[in-house]
Formats: sequence, structure tokens, C-alpha cells
Amino acid sequence: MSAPTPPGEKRHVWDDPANVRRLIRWFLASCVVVALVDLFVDRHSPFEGGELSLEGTPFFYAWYGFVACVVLVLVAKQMRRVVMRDESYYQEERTEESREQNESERAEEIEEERGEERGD
Amino acid sequence: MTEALGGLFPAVHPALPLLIGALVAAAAGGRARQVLLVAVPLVGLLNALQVDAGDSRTVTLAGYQLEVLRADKLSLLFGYLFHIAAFLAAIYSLHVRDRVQHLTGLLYAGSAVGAVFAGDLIVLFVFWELLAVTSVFQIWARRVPESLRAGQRYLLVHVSSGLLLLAGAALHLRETGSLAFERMELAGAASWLILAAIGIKCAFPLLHTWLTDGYPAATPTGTVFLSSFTTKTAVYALARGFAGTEELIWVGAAMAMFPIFYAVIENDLRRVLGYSMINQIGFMVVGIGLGEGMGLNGAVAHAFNDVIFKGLLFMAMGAVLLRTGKIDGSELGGLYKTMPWTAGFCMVGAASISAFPLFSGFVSKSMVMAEAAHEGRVVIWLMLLFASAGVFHHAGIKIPFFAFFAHDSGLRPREAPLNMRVAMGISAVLCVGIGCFPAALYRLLPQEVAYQPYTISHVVEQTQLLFFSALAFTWLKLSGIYPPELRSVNLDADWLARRLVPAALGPPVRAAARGWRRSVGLVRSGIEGLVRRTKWWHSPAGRLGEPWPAGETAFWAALLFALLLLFAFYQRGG
Repeated sequence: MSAPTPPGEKRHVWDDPANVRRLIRWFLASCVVVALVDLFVDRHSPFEGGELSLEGTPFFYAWYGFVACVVLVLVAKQMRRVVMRDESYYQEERTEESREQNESERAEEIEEERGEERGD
Repeated sequence: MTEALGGLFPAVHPALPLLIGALVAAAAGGRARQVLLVAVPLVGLLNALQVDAGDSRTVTLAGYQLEVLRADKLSLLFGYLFHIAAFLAAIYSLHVRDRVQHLTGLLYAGSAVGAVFAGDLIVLFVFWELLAVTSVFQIWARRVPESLRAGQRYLLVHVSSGLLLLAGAALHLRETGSLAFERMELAGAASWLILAAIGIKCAFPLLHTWLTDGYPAATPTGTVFLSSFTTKTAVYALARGFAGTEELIWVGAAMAMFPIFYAVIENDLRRVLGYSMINQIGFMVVGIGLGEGMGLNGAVAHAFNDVIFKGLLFMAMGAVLLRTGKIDGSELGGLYKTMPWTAGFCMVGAASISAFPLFSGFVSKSMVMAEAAHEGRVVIWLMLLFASAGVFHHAGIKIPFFAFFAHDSGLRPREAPLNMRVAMGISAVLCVGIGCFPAALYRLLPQEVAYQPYTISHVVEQTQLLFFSALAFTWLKLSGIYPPELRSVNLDADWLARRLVPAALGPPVRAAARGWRRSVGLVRSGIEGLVRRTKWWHSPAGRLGEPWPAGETAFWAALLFALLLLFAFYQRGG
């Protein structure tokens, strides 16, 4: 997948898979910390009338964010079946149509020229 | 601010420095033009700071009193914002050697300033159309066939939007006897026509494709100009004319939701940003729908921040396009190695649009959401929360990740030119500055603000939402579920205009055009008779000789022109 690092080029920080693994581990650890904070903070609900009590339950924002993104990606993936077309989709239409139009216009021009030659 | 500088010199109309400065800068060459490009927006801003809330100026034209200047806190905020945006975009485009782009860029900014200070619908219409005509050159200036055609489509849409506005203004005059542009109820043809005109420029759902079609076709610097003025002028007009309109809450929530699905599967990273822009405008439209108070304040504050962070993201992508000639996610990756500054600035923009604490999006987007919750609108709030997670996913992570990290594309482009880095640097500083010290922005808002973004609850909630959105991305990417970037086109609502309508209308319109040409001869012979009859129509006895009300004339002229435009467009084959 990745192009090989050209010879003589300095190795960059993410060229080393160990660094990437370390980043992911740190990230997972901070996710756990960020989630656990919920148990120690008395959150103040933006719904003053209590219309959405779910919002006050522990880990609401964590699971909502996670589920939202998974749903987003899975739905978008399915959308591709319906809406995805080849990159040249609109270009092809253009060339076909303009060719067709050019041809019909040229045919008319020729007709008109002939008409003028005949002298009407 | 105004007090400190007040009375320094008498202010001219705020649009004039930009419009006149554009002409002077275009006449100059080389170094002199570069200096002028940066100086003109600064002089304009200084002038705008002399204008006070409550200032008004009218001119009399053909018996009508036209209010060319109406200043209040709402128009002043947008006025300042457009000067800052013009200043940043001018620095960003200093390396460009193209008189047309420089001239039209500043004229475009001047038109936007003129529009937000317009006190009545006719002045608004004039600047509305000027916006359309001056902005299209940022697309055409790329000088490739695809941009030429995208520009034609863009212009058709925007000129039509202006015609709707003119028709709406004419009917409004007849209904109310006034041309003043004030808040209106959504009742009657006039208000619907005006809303449609604003809705097109605001990229309402189904009317949005000019944005995702046109912006990716613009020059690397052109998109930065485009992203700053057109949609934000529309947001201003919506805030002025339709604040508190219930329907807008649902329109805005739809705008915040649907583009993020497209953004996930879109390959062209500037089009991803286009979709993300519609998503952000969705938050503003919801805020405007929620009405006076915190909703409107949040919408306006978010418009201010969006111009800067979205501009910054478009700047970063413009730099990538300039240096590599590529903008598709499938072709890029690993650019952090040779473009570390651009990568860093891009991540500041990404953090701002994602509303991380200490970045600008955090202090404005939440005002809209807090107001939705305050009014007890559970479904809207859940939709906006979904959109907040989604925007981090596609703009916050996808843009920097696929351009600068992901797999190594093997590309080793040079770092962006110095002027681009300076423009991105100032934008990044503004993003962090506003995020850390929001009081400066809050002071400019149209209504008194009693909002505290930095509460423990808000910081914790937003951090959790964003971290777990990122966790979802990480999991989907590592497990291979995440859809790969593919070279492709995704059908959107413009398919209707570009495929369905031409298929249905194309043959009859083309046949009509052929018929027209053939019948020219016949018409010629009939012309003499027509001249005789026309003379009679226009005589005092004829229908056209009667005095027509100006409003009615404008309405029919607008309608006729719109039909001619559509005819010409489809005759050429869409």
C-alpha cells in the first residue's frame, strides 16, 4: 500500500510502526480516563425542564459519540451502492451531448450554406 | 472598539474602500499591487470601525428613497468579519500572478460588505447579483474546461437567486408599500420568494449543489474567497429577515445531518469541506430558527468562527493542491513529512471545526445546542449532537488524516509558500484566540450575552463525545470496515438538473432552438407588421403605453429573464 521510503531519506516519526502502536495505546488509555471522569463530575443538564433524562445517565456522551460515528460510516457505505458512479460520469454525458449537438449544428450549417449557394 | 477610534476620520460607505481599492490594485502591477491587496482590507476595516450602530444613509433614485447604509450590531459584525476574511484571503493569494483573480476577489468582498449594510431590498438585490458575478471568476480563473462549465452552472444558480429576490422585493413593495429589509413573517408570495432567494445562497437541502459542484472547481486560492462571503451573506440575510421562523429549525437540522454522510464517502477533499460547510451552516440556520436571544447570537457567532476555521481548512487544502496538483484522498497521504507547517495549521482548523475546548468552534456551536435544549427540543438536539460527532469524524479526522498521514503516497512536495503559511498562521492564532478568550467575540454579538462556555459539564461532555468519535474511527479503520477512498463521483441533487431535466427537456428545447433558427426567415418577413402593431401597443391607447407600477415591471422582467436564462442553459446541454 505505502510507497517505500526513498533511499537516503530520514525516517519520520510515523514510519515506525512501534510509534503508531504507542500512539494508539495512549489514545485508548485517555479514552478510558475521559469516560471515567463522568463518575466523579456532577454534570449539569442543558435540559432545564428534564425533557431528556437519558442525557444525565453516566457515559451518555461517550456511547452516543461512538454509536453515531459507527452508524454514520455504515450508512454512508451502503449509500455508495446507490449514489456512487465512475469519476467520468458527468464528463461522458457532456462529450456525448456536445458531439451530438455539434453534429446537428454542423448539419444545419451545411444545409444553410447549400441554401445560400442555391440562392434563396 | 468604535469608541477608541471614533472620529478619526469621517467614514465613507463601508463597501467603497474595497470596491475602489480593488480597481486601484488591479491597475497597479508587481509589488505595488501586492501591497495594495493587503492594505485595502485593512483601510476598509479601519473605515468600518468608524461606522456606528444606528448610522443610516439614503440616496434618492428615480423617485425611490434607497437606504444604502443601515448599520446596527448585526450588520457591523458581518462587516468586520468580511474585512478580516478579505485580509486573510489577500495574503493567502499574494503569490498568484493573475490580475483578474485579484480584482474580482476584492470586488467580491466589497459586494458582501455592501449586501450586509443594505437597508432595503433593492440595494440588497444589487449587491446580491454583484456577489454572483464577481465570485464566479474565482472558479473560471482555473481556466480548465471543467471549471468553465462548473462556473456557468454556479452563475446560473446565483443569478436566478438574485432574480427571485428581485421578484420578491417587487411583490413585497406591492403588499406592504415598503422596500425596507426587516424581519418578515413567512406568509404570502413575497416572503416565500425572498426566502427561496436566500435559501439558494444559504445552500438549503436540494438547493445546495452549486456549492459542492462549484467550490472544488475553483482555483486553490479561489475557494478561500468563495468560502468566506457568499453563504455568510446569506446567513446574515436569513438572520435579518427570518429570525424565529419555526420551519428553519427543521431545515437547519436536515442541513446539519445529510451532508456528513456524503462527506464520509467523498474523495475530493475540497468537496468534503464543501459538505462540511453545509453541515456548519445547518447549525446557524437552526440558531436563526430558534430566534432572538441565544439562538440568534449562537448562529452569528458560529458564522464568524466558521469563516475563519473553514477558511483555514480550505487554505490547507489549497496549499496541498498547489504543491501536489492533487486533491483526492485516494492520491494523497504522508505529506506531513515535507509540509509540516501546513499539516499543523490544518489540524488547528480541524480542532476548531470539531469544537474542541480551547478552539473557536467550542464557544459558538454550543450556544445553538444549549438554546435547543433550553427550549426542550429533544429531537433537534439529538440530531445536532449526531452532527457534532459526525463533523469531527469527516472534517476533524478525515481531512488531516488522508492528506497528511494515512498511507505514504510517495509524494514529497515542498512546503506551502511563505504568504500561504502567514495567512494560515494568522487564522490559526485567531481560532485559538477566540477559543480561549471568547468575550471579545461575545461583545460584538447583536444581543447581550449571558453564556459561559467553559463549565465543567460542557468541557467533559464535549471531550467525551469527541474522544469516542475518534475511537470509532480508529476501530473502523483498524478493522477494515472503514470505506476506502475511491476515485468516484457521488450523485447528489444536482443529478436532477444535470441529468434528469436535460433528458426530459433537452430534446424539446433543442428542437425549439432549431425551429427558432429555421423560422428566422419567416419572422423577418413578419417584422414589418410587428413593428406596426408594437407602435400601436406603445401608443397611449395600447396596453404597454399605460403607466406600469415599477414593482410589477420588475417582477415580469425578472420572470422573463429567468426563463431566458434557463432556456439558454439547457439549449447548450446543461
